[in-house]
Amino acid sequence: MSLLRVDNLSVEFPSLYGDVRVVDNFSLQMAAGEVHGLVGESGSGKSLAALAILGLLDPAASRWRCDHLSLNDKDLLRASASERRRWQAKYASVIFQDAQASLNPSFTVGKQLDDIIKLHHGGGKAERRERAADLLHQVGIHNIGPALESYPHQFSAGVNQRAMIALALACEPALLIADEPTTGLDVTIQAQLLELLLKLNSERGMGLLLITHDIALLARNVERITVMYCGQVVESGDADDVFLQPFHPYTRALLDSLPKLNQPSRRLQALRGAKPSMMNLPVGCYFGPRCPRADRDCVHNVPLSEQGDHRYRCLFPIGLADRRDGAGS
Amino acid sequence: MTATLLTVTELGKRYPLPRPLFRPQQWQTALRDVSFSLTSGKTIAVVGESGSGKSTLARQLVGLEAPSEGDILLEGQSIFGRHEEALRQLRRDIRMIFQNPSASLNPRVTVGAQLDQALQHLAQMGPRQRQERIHEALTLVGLATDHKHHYPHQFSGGQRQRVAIARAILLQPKLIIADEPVSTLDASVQAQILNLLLDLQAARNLSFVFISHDLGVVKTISDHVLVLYAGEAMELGPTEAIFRQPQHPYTRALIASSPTVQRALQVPVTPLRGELAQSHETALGCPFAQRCPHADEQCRRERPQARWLAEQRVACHKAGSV
Amino acid sequence: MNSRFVQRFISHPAALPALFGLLLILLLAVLGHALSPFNPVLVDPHAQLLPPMWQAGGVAAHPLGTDDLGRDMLSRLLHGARLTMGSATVALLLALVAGVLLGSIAGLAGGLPDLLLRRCMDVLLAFPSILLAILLSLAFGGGMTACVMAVAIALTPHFFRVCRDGLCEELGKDYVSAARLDGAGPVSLYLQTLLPNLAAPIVVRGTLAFSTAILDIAALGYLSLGAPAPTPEWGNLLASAHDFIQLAPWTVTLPGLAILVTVLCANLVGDALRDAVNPRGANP
Repeated sequence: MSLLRVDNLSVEFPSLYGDVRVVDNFSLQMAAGEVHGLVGESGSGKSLAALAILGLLDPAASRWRCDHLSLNDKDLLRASASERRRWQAKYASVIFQDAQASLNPSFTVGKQLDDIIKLHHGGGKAERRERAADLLHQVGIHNIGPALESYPHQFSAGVNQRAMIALALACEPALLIADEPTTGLDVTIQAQLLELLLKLNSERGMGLLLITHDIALLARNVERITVMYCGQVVESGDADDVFLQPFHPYTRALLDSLPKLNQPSRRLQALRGAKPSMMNLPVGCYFGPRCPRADRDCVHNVPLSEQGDHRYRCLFPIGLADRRDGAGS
Repeated sequence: MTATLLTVTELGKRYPLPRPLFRPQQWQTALRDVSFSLTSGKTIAVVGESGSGKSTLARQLVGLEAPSEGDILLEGQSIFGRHEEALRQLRRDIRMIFQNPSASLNPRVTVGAQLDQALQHLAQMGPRQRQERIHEALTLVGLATDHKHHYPHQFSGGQRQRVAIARAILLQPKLIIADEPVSTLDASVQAQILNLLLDLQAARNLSFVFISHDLGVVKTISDHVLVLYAGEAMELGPTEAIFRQPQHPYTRALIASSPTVQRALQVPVTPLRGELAQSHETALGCPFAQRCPHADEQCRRERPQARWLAEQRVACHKAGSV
Repeated sequence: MNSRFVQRFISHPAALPALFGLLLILLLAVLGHALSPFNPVLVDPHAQLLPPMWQAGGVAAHPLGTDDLGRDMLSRLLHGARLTMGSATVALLLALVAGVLLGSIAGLAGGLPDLLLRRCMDVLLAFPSILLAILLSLAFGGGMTACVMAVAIALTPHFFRVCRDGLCEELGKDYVSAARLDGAGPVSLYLQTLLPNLAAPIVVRGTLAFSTAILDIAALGYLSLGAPAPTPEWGNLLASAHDFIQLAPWTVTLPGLAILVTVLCANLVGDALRDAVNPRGANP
């Protein structure tokens, strides 16, 4: 059963200099209960892809199209707008980086939880309160009485993110999309939250799409991983395969640029150059100008290739036989 | 044996809390009893969570704020109470790189003009010499000399941090205080900037006080590590020893929480509960006791004194026994 | 910055027409002397209350007609533009200098001076600017100088606020700390680092205050607290003509229109400038 399937999603922003394609033929598949990592540096389009999947993009400022989009085996593109909204509300939840901004500052956390529980489950007041208390307990907020009566500004950023997760859990989603959920938090808090998300995944079988710029965060925590660069998926596959033997030079470079433990020299292996502007992308492979393996053929468009379950967008993948014959197709 | 460049002795800083009517003034402790020294050409990393006093320490080290207690000596001379030429000398010797390069560059002034201002204020040089110095600094950090005509917003994040580094090395300082210089950058750019700092250090015998929350970065760049918690020094020692055999429970928890370096840890760790709480002047006991898995009555009642354990100086009653 | 700023300014639908309108009015005000066909105070008993040339009875010699004493309306409006806009400009500049000076003192000194200055300005701000201008003008004894002084004082708190609040905000930013570490003394910190960042909000405030100044000057003129009777000034023109509003509507409408168009243009330019300096939407 597939929990989420996205085929060839593209998002464009019209601008004075023509349309800017910020997400380019993005595809993603998640099985039920899967933990999937979506990684890319700032401006890679990872958050916009997630927003487009959830139908949260501003239709006035952007255009998107998609060949197929289904959540929990329901085709969302064929559903009516209200049907789609209801289905999504039932099966998918999302949490963002800035929990403080995602919570309504004028209402207590208890009231906000209660509203969602009322919407999804109904039930009497005492029953709803019990459910709310249970949710807070699950996300590791233990002094439940005072917490329910507190306003978001009375909590620290870490506790707010926990409250946000509790809100997301209230509708018992089959899929939780977490967009940079721990960025900007201290490492110890980050570790706590990650542990919590993974615990919820294993206990409830809730699928988790973890979007982050920090590839190290995904290292031991996800089953599958998708790497994005300049709006395109450059590599995706089983996390162990991608981490241990990345085919795409960009993934390799991302991993290499992390500080390592037993490196002989203190210098890091830095990638040269800078990410190109989305308004002025290079011809052919977007990574070409920065790529140590690039060659003349890299000015052609590079399709996604497959090696079993492992997909990559590169003509000269690391560690694979030379694929020069297939170039340019 | 190289000489000691920087000595920090029993540094303390407290801020007044808003005073309630008819109650005595309360103080919040931002730093308490922090001591360390740094030899020239070396890097000490200051690690801690937000609220640990890292940035307060940085502001004291460059002399933007005066401490409540203790002193900071640069080559044996206090950096506080300086005037005129002595103060200018200090501003030349100790430079700072701020966390967010977009915020630390004046948005309405070209990069070249900003660099020139620093030279005008602090160095006696003619216009030609100043331009030469600016070109040299820009080239050294990997920018083109033409970049001096640009405004800060015309650069990418990584380039802006390069400009900030150029501004720091412009006056040929002895010590650079870097306050989270790579935390706002993408991983691939972060590596470029860290390499640049390492190269500059090798080329110019620079010393760094490198403030960071990212242990992976700290491991790469530093020779010594100082771990701060709620304004107090928890552990101080050589980087290699701290990562191999952390003595303080907090250091262990930090390393265990870090996604990049957790694999190296040989000591079993239980993840930390709770969050950092600010400590008041009157607080007793170890500031970490509330979150520490090993804390007992003694930890809550009695402040641990720093003591030597292997190569590290540790402030913990339990270190070495758990 | 500059090209993006211009782009944002232009993208404001009314910005360019308003800017050209305002520039045209300013040009007319400056060249008023040379352009006006008659002496504005010249009484012509043979040409009393002539309608504008496009109405029945109008003559080409007086394109906008004449008033009750036979004075040429076009000449009076052109001279009036000079006087009204000129005094508004002087009042504005005085207010700007005073406001920025006091605001800088308050922002940089902090503490007691800041508190006292802020309270004083709050008191001034508590009055509607027109009421304050009337009171001050009366206190100064009327006349053009008193009128300009009154308007200047009524406008000062606006500049004070922009400058003081801007300074307090900028002072906390990293680039100010960085400039201090670059060895900048208080004077160069203020002139080289802070002032360039305050210029934009002050200019925006100034454009918006310009329309207030024109309105206040005209209102004082209307109440005979500004320029003395025969001097052509827009408010003055309105006041001297309102007895004839039934008989000769153009004597009232034309100065009224002049004030309206000028204030409108200044406000539109000010709005567009403000939006261009502080873009609210995420417009990369």
